[in-house]
Amino acid sequence: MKLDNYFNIYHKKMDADVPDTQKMWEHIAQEVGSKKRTIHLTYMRIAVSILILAGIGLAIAYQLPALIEKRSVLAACSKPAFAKELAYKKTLEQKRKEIIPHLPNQEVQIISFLKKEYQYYEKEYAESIKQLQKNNCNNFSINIIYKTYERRIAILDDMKHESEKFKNYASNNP
Amino acid sequence: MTRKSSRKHKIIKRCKKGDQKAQFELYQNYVDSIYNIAMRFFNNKMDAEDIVQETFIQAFKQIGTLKDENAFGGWLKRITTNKSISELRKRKIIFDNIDETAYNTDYDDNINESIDPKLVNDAIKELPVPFRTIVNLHVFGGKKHKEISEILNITESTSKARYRKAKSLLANKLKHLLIDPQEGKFIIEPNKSSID
Repeated sequence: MKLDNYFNIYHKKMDADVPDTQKMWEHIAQEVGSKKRTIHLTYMRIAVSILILAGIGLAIAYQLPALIEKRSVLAACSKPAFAKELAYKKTLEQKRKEIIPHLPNQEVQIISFLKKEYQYYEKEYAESIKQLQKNNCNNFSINIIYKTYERRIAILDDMKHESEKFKNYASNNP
Repeated sequence: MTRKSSRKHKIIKRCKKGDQKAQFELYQNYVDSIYNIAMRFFNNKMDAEDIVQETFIQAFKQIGTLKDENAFGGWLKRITTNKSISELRKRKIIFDNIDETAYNTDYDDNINESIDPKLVNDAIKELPVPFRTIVNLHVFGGKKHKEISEILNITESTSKARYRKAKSLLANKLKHLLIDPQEGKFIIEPNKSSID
């Protein structure tokens, strides 16, 4: 008989007896099981990362209103340094140049303008005091308090100067 | 779909989810055939067991990538074959560029049909590894010579020629079969011995 034919008929009978399959299975189960543990570890790592990110997010969110407040106070108080102070000086100069015959009105207008400016910085000052109370030894708040205080003093000086000017004019021109 | 294949599909789906009971059931269904494939390549129990374990470990780890559940058996056998060939290559067993003149024999592939299949099996184990591998892949693995040539990195004509030579060597061995009366095992005549 040709070998090819023999193989076709008998190849299944040529199989060897399989030894202890249970022992092989135990090793397989252990290795495949460790893959599951790896997957669990991966999920745990992802969960921990999410928790940490969530914690950071909450911390930022908690601090955000305070940060926004700081920025708005800073933004507001930075105005006198530039635009607001400039606008203040321009307005004051303009009002001073107006014709004298309208003096009583002018006095009212100028003083009224100065009062408004003063009140603005008083408000900013009060806000900064609140911030300082919330955050102890906060250099930022202290700086704002200092600046707003300075502006208020400057405005008071202007008020005093304008008031005296009008008094002198009134006494020289009865 | 038959009831049997439907059940097999369910088991494989459970395996994909990591169900260890399903994995054990699948293992029991295929371990015999996988062990025999490995045993044919290595001729020793320890190596065959290692290959069986590595095959199933890889299969269960990668079972999620299997799209057609019907192809599971063939896929598993391919893993076994590839791992076996890979291991043989690591052991510096070469499949290409062998000196085939050392195995010259007159071609004759006829054998007595009443020979015990176990004896034929043992004779196959005695073949040189390059020839034994082709017999294993073609006869027991069901692979065509084109596939064998790709696996072993030889030409298709080389695969066919070696298979012919393997059959001739086998037939020659079996013709000169002598039984050791004391041990009941067969022994090969010295001038017909194979080289591993």
